[in-house]
Amino acid sequence: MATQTPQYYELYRGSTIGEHLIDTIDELINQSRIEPQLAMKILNNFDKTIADVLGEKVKTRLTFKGHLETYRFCDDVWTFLVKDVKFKTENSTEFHADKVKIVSCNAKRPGEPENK
Amino acid sequence: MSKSQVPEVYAKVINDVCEASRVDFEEGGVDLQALEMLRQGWQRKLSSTRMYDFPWDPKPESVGKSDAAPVMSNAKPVPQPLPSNGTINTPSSSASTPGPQIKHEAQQYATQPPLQAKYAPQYTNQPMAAEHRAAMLLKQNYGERAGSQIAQLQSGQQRVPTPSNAQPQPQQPYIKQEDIKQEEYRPTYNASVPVKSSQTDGAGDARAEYDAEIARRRAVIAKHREASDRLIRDHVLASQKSMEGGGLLMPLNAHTSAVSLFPQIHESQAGSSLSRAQGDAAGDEDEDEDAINSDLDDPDDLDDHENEEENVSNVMLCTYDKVQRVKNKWKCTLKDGVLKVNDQDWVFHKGQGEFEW
Repeated sequence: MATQTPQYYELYRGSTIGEHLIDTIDELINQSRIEPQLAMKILNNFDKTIADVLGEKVKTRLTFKGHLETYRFCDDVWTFLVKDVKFKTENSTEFHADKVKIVSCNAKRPGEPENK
Repeated sequence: MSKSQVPEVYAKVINDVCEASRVDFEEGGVDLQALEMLRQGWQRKLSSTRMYDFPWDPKPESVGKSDAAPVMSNAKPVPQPLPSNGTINTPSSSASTPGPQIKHEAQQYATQPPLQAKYAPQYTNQPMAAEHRAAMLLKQNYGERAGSQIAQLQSGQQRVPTPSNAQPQPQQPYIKQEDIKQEEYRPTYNASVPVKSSQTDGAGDARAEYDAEIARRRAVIAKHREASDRLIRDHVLASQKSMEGGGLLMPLNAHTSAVSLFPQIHESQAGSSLSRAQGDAAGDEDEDEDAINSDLDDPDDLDDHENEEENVSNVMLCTYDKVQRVKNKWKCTLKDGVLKVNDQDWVFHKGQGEFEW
C-alpha cells in the first residue's frame, strides 16, 4: 500500500454520470478551454471519487434474479448477459428488466491490501 | 431507498470531482471559470435525462415563491413614477399606460422563470430584478422618453437569460466567423491583383483556386471538428476495449474500425494475388480456399446472437466479491454498483445476484 497507490477502475466511466462527464469534457476541449491532459486528470479524479462515494456513502442492498444468457471471465473482469431480471431493493421496491448486461471488476483492486 | 439516494450520490460525485480537479486546473494554469462550466455542463446534462429531481435543480415550490417576490417588489414602485410624469403633461393618460404595461411584464417574468430556471436557476432571478430596477430608474428619470431604452433593455434580457452560461458559447462561433471572413478577404485582394495587371483570364482562375482552397479548408475544419468532438470519448472507448481483452471479446460486427480497415487491406491483397494467379482462379474470387467453410463460423449465425449483447441499454457496472457456480446455478456477490434500468439509475452498496444458465 505504501509502495503502490491503489488504482481505480475506469469502469464507471460508462455509467450515466460518467458519460455525461465525458461529453461535457469533450465540449470544453472543443471550445479550447481545457487541454486533453487536464481532461485525463479529471477523469482519473472521477474514477477515484465515484469508487469512494459508492463505497462510503451508499448503504443499500439490491437482490436480483434472472436467466443467465452469456457469461465470460477475462482479465479479471466478469461480464454477464442476464435476461428477464427481477430486481428487489431492501425496502421491497421491485422492478424488472428484459435484458441487463453486467460488467464487474474484481473488488480487490490491484495494489490494494488483501484485508478488505 | 436506493432510488432516492441517486441524486444525492451524483451531487456528491460532481462536487468531489470538481474539488479534486481544482488543484489540477490551478496547476495547469486553467481559468477556474472552465471548472465552473464543467460543473454546470455536467449538471445540466444529468438534469436533461429527467431521471430524478437533482439537488441542483430548482424546486417547483421555491421557484413559485421567488417569482412572487419580484412581482410584489415591482408592483409597488409602479405608482412612484406617476407624480414625476404627472407634472409634465396629462397625468392620468401617461400614468395609466405604463402602469399595466409593467405589471404585464412582471407577470410575464413570473411565468418565464420555470422554463429558464432549469438551466441556471440561481442566475435568472437576480438579473431580472436588476433589469427591472434599471427600467424603473430610466422611467423615473426620463419618463416616457425612456420607453425605447426600456424595451431594448428588456428584449436584451430575454435574449440572454443565463449570462454566465451563454457568454462563453457565443465566443466560439464569433471567432469562427472572423476566421472565415479573414479567409474570404485575403483572396479578394489576390483576385484584385490580376485585374490590375490586366490579365483577362486570370481573375477567374484565382477565384476558382480560392474557392477550392476555401472548400478544402472547410473540409479540414469540419473533419477535425468532428474528431475533436469525440476526442476523449474515443480515448475512453479505446481504453474500455483494451480492458475487454484488447477487443478480442468484441463481437465481430462491433470491430468497426478494424472492419473498415480490413476491406482495403483485403482488396489490395486480393488484387495482388489475383494478378499473380489469374490463370486458374478467375471463377472463385470470393472464395478463400483455405477457409474451413464450416457452418459454425457463418457470420449470419453470429449476428443475431452477438447483436443482443451490443444493444443492451440496461447496464450494471460494479465490482465483485465472489462469483460461484454450482451446475447451472450462479451466485454473485457484487459491490458498489451503478445500474441503469429502463432509463432510470440505481446505486447499491451490495448486490446479490442469482441466475440460472
